[in-house]
Parts: sequence; C-alpha cells; structure tokens
Amino acid sequence: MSRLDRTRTSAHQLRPFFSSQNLLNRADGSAQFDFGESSVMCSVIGPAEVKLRDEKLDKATLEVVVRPLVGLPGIKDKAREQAIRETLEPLVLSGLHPRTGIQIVVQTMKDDGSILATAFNATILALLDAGIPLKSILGAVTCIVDSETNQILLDPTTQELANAKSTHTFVFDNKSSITSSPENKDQEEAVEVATLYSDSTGLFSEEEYFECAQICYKAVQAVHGFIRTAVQKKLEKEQQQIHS
Amino acid sequence: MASITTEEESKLLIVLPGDQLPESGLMEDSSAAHRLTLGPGLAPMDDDSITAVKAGILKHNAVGNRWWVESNQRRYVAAQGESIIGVVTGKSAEHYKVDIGASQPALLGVLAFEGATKRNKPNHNIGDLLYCRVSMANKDMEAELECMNPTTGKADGYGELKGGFVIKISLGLARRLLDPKNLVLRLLGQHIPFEMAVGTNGKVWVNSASAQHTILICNAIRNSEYLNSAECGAMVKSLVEKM
Amino acid sequence: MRDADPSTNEREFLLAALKDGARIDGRKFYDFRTLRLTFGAEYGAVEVQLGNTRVLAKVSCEVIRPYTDKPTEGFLMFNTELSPMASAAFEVGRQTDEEVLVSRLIEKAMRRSRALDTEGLCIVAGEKVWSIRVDIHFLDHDGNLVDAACIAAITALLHFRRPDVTVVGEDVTIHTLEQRNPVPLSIHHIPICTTFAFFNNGERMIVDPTFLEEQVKEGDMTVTLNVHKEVCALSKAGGIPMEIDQILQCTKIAVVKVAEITAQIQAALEADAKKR
Repeated sequence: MSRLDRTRTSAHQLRPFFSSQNLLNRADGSAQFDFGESSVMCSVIGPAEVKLRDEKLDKATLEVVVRPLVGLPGIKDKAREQAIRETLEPLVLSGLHPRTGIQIVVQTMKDDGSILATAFNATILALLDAGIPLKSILGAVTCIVDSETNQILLDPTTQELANAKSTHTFVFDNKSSITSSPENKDQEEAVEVATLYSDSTGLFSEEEYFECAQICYKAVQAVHGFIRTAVQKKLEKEQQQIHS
Repeated sequence: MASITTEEESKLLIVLPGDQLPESGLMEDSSAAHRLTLGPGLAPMDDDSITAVKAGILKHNAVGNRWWVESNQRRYVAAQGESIIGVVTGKSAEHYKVDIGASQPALLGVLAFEGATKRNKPNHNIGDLLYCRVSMANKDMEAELECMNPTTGKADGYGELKGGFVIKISLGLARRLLDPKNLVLRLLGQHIPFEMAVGTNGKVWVNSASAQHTILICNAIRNSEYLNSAECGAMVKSLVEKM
Repeated sequence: MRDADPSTNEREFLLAALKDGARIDGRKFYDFRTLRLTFGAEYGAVEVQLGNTRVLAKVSCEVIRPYTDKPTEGFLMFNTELSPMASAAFEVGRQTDEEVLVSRLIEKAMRRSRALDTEGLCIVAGEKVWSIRVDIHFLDHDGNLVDAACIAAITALLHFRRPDVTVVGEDVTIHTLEQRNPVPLSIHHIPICTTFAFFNNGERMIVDPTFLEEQVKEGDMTVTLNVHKEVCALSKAGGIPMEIDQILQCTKIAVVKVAEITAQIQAALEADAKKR
C-alpha cells in the first residue's frame, strides 16, 4: 500500500532521517533533526548562570522553551515544554552541576506531522552536542491508527494525521552494555529498555495501544542507530587530524 | 553496539550516554591491582555499573587503570589545575571577579600574583584579560584562580595578557592546540612569528606584529577544527598566499 | 542573563584594525557577509544566513473580517519576538530595547513602505479579507539582526502563494493547493535594509556589523531602500551625532548594496521556482 506522502511503500516505514549538530554559533550545543519534511532545531545553553529564583541548591534547573512555527506560543506549546522537560529531568545528571541552569529552546522549522517526536530527537542531539551529562540517550517516534483502514501508520504526515483515529507518541531510552567478548552476545538481548514518555490521544483499545508500543519500539531502534552514527561521524571528523 | 577490543586502538571506540562498560573489560589490563580511576565522561550508576554520560571516544591508560571519555563541548566547567583565560568583570578589596565562561564568575585573590603583598599588589581594571590557573574548583562553589605557580610562587607566564586579540573556540580544539605537535600551529609558525596563550576554557589569545597577521592566525585556528591534515595544509597555504 | 562585555583587548584590537583598514573577519568596510537563502518545501518559508546570523521567516494566511472603516484592506502582521535560541540575553516574555527597535524597524520597512498591496487581499468588501502573517524566528545572533530579518521577511513574502478563491455572489470558495494553483501576493517593491555602524567619532563607518562590532560601535543607522533608489525608511536611534554629508554617503553605499541583495534574492527565487 502506498502512503499518503507517496514516497513510502509500507505502513511501518519511517520517513528519511536527517540531522546536523553544532550549527549555531552562540549556543553551547545545537542540532537539527528532520523526519522527511518535518524539521526541528534545538539549542542548548548550559550549565550556565541561573536566575536566583530558579536556582536549586543540589542540582541544575532545566528550562525548556518550545516555539511554534506560526503564531505566538500557546497551550499546546506549553504542554510540549512540560512533556520534554519532565522526560529529560530523570535523564540529565543535573546533580553534577548544582546551582546552574540548562536552557533548551526548541523551534519548529518545518511542520509535516510528528513534530513532538522530531523535537525529542533534535533535543537529545543538541544535549549530546552541548556535552550535558546524561544517563542515557533517547529516541522518539509517533504512530497513528487510521480511522478508515484501522491500520497502524508510523511517522505520520500532517495529511495522515487528519485521518487518525488515535495518535501515539513514544519515547524510549537506550541503555546498552558493551560486550567485552563476542560470546557474550546474549547479554545484549537482555538490554533493559524503559519507556520514558508515552502520549496517546483519540479512541483506541488496549490491544491497539500495545501494538502501537511494539511497532514504535522497533522503529525507535532505527532512530537510536541513526543518532549513534550521527555522533560517530562528527567525532571522527574532529579526531581525523590526530589519528591520521 | 561497540565492543572493547584488546588489540591496539586502531579504531576509535565511540560511546554514547547509557553505554555500560563491562567490569571484566575494565579490569583486564591491571588484574593485579584492582583499582580503577574514572575520568570525565564516565560515572558509576545506581546499579553499580559504570556508564558513559557523555558522547565521545573511550580512552584508556594502563598506568593506574584510568578510563575516561574524550568529548568535545563549548561550555567550560572549571577543573583544578587547568590554565584558562578570563576577563575581569569586577573587583573588590580582596578579590577580582573573573568571567571564565563557566556558569559562574571565578574569584581571583588580589594577592594571588607573584610577589604581591598587601602594600604592593598589581592593579587590574574591568575588561582586562588574564591568563590564570584554576587553584580550586568544586561543583558547589565558585572556582578560585591564581596568577602564579603555587609551588614556586613565580608567575610562570600567568598574568595579564596585553594587546592582541582573543577568540572563543570549542574546548576540544583548545585541548588539541595544547599538543606540541599540533599541525595548524606548526604550519602557521613557518610563515608568521606570533605569540599565543591557550586557555582550556576555549579562549585563545593571539598576538603578532600586525593586526592582519593576528586576524589570519585566528581564522586559521577556527577553520582547522574539522579539517584533516592535507586540508589543513591547503587552508593555511591559501590564507598566507592571500596576504 | 546579560551578554558579557568584550575584553579591553578585543575592543582595542578591533578599533586599531579598523583604523588600519581591516575588519576582524577579513571583510572590506562596505561588504555584507555571505548571504545564503534556503527555501522549504512549503511556500513562504525561507531561512536566511548572513554570516553566522541566522533567521527563519514563515508566512501564513487566514481569512478574517476587515475593519469597518477600511472594508477593502487586508492585513499584514509581523511577529518578531526575539527567541532565546539566538542569544541567552533574550528572555521569554520580556521585551528588551533591542527587540522593540528590531520590530519597529521591520514594521516601518515593510508595512509602512507599502511593499505589499493590502487592497489586493480583499475577497468580499466589508466581509472577508486575507490576513497575512509573517513569523520571524531569530535562531543565531551574530549581529545585524535587522538586515537579516528584513531580507527573510521580504523573500518569504515573495515566495509565498495564497490559495486561490472564487467569489460567486455571496458564496466564497477557497480552493486547496491540489484543486488550483495558488496565487502569489502582489508586491509593489522590495525594500532592503542596510545597517551601518560608526566608529572613531563617526569617521569610520562599516556595513553589516557583526555582534562584536555592534558591542564596540559608537552609533548606528539603518537605511531602507528599494532598487528604484527610493528611501523607504531611515532610522538612527541614538549614538553619536552625524554630518548630513555622511547620511547621504550612507544612502549612496546602500543603493549599491540593495541592488546586489535584490539580485541575489531574485536569483534564489528563480532557482527555487525551477525546482518545483
């Protein structure tokens, strides 16, 4: 079956990824992440000075600002700010930088659906670029249940979202162990994966929810892999003078 | 997913936050001395595992079984013993307040200079550029600086940087500039005589006979970050030829 | 969080270099930094890079009811809130003086110079008109936000296409992009801002100052012109006093710059149109 954006052939296919790190000159870290024609830019400043009233004695204060592409920030953007902040709070090792502030600004650059998932992925890349200490990385994907076909479509476009019976966004972390020898490969299978964030709207059954979670979990592996490759490429470029 | 290889570090081992290091791999090299020293980018987690907390290259030094992650960032976090370049932003009877690019300004005692006494101490103004050493750094307190070598009490090159220009680069590039074998500096040195001070906080001070030369050196340093050896050579060559 | 002031060394080096005839980034006094325009897949979205300064402009439209005293006039609105992404000195929900100046200048350059034909936005007099909204997002601040924002805004307006409408009596049909080709806005002229910064008691002037140059400058002036050599706006908010001759000289330099930038915008638009 061909998808509404006509570039994809399968319901469980993600749009092409694109990412770029360290593109802003004033921020301490920045990244852009694209799912096809959806694009989000994220900047990170910190650990930096923090306003006295926001100062926490034992840890860094996380501030997330979400800016929409069109119009002034509204309720939806505030909700996204909260979602991103509360998902990141347990992930950031804020105890290492007490009495400082980490400011994250998320700006939609192009909107073609799945913006929240795109924003999560841009944010993690920007945090990695800024060198903020983290417990783990994360990856995010959105899927919908189509109202006509009841089919689960991954990474929906704006057009596909309009036909959604329910929409689900999942964020998973990625703790993995590096095996010391190839024989220990089974250990890798036992990698624990935690759901960091799950948001569902619309009418759906328990069965549908868990199926969506399964499909998104599989898809997030590709996102994690992509993030790893992106970071790897950047590091190799930095190190090429030393190791050549 | 990467795996630790016992062979030579032919390939860079890149880790991301959340990557756990297996205990067996960590102890391999010094099984006799069951000691382990963790450097930046690695931290023990609640479940006793040792996990990377920054994206970077996993490094190991068999002496003392040290493990750390070589990463790059732009924001400075003060660490004891590092040499940095700061700007005086305020002064009181006992301290200068110095902006070192970290989350808070650092304190520099007015007597922390070579031969300074209560009667005779150097006078610095707001806006002055100082090359200092971090004498105390703690996550809960403001960093403290000094402009002398603590063991000898001599200036050792620390102090005010007069004239010249200063640029901000990434901390990773600053560390690479401190390597005596650094390519871009060697290439520049073949064409232009210049003076420089590199702060591990990503500030680089450059001074030369003319403004044009200083500008060229600053640009060459900035450009060198993502170039390989050949490209770096070509870049310096084209800059020098354009002069 | 305020921006840190530059050190005395930076300040003095910059001034000494300017006296010697050099700028820190190797530019000549009257050169703009490299301008890059990138369009999105949608109409009316453009990202402008002027050196390290980065601005995104996005145009959108909706149908609304006009004011009763101007029943045939459409609306043109600008949103120029400074994002903390560009600089930590910009706080959310707190307008800085810089923000007020930037938004006033863009308003003057774009709206009050009547660059856009607002009468052409009328669908049914007194009932329905188009309201065009330009959201300007500042992503990275390395000086001269005004010129970059102005280029972004006008390029996005030129690139934008609104849905076609058919009016039959009282019935208004708005066609989707699939049904009918969308129509461009009617734009009278292309106003371009050129910002000058002054040093050394106003004797030395430069075009397109970087952030460091802005921090050290003694005064500035923005001249808004179009290719027809018409002055659309002129703004000099404080700074050192200037001779009349100097203002004329600035305008003459701006004429050349405006022609260059306009040509670049048009070339970029044509290249993008070919791709579609």
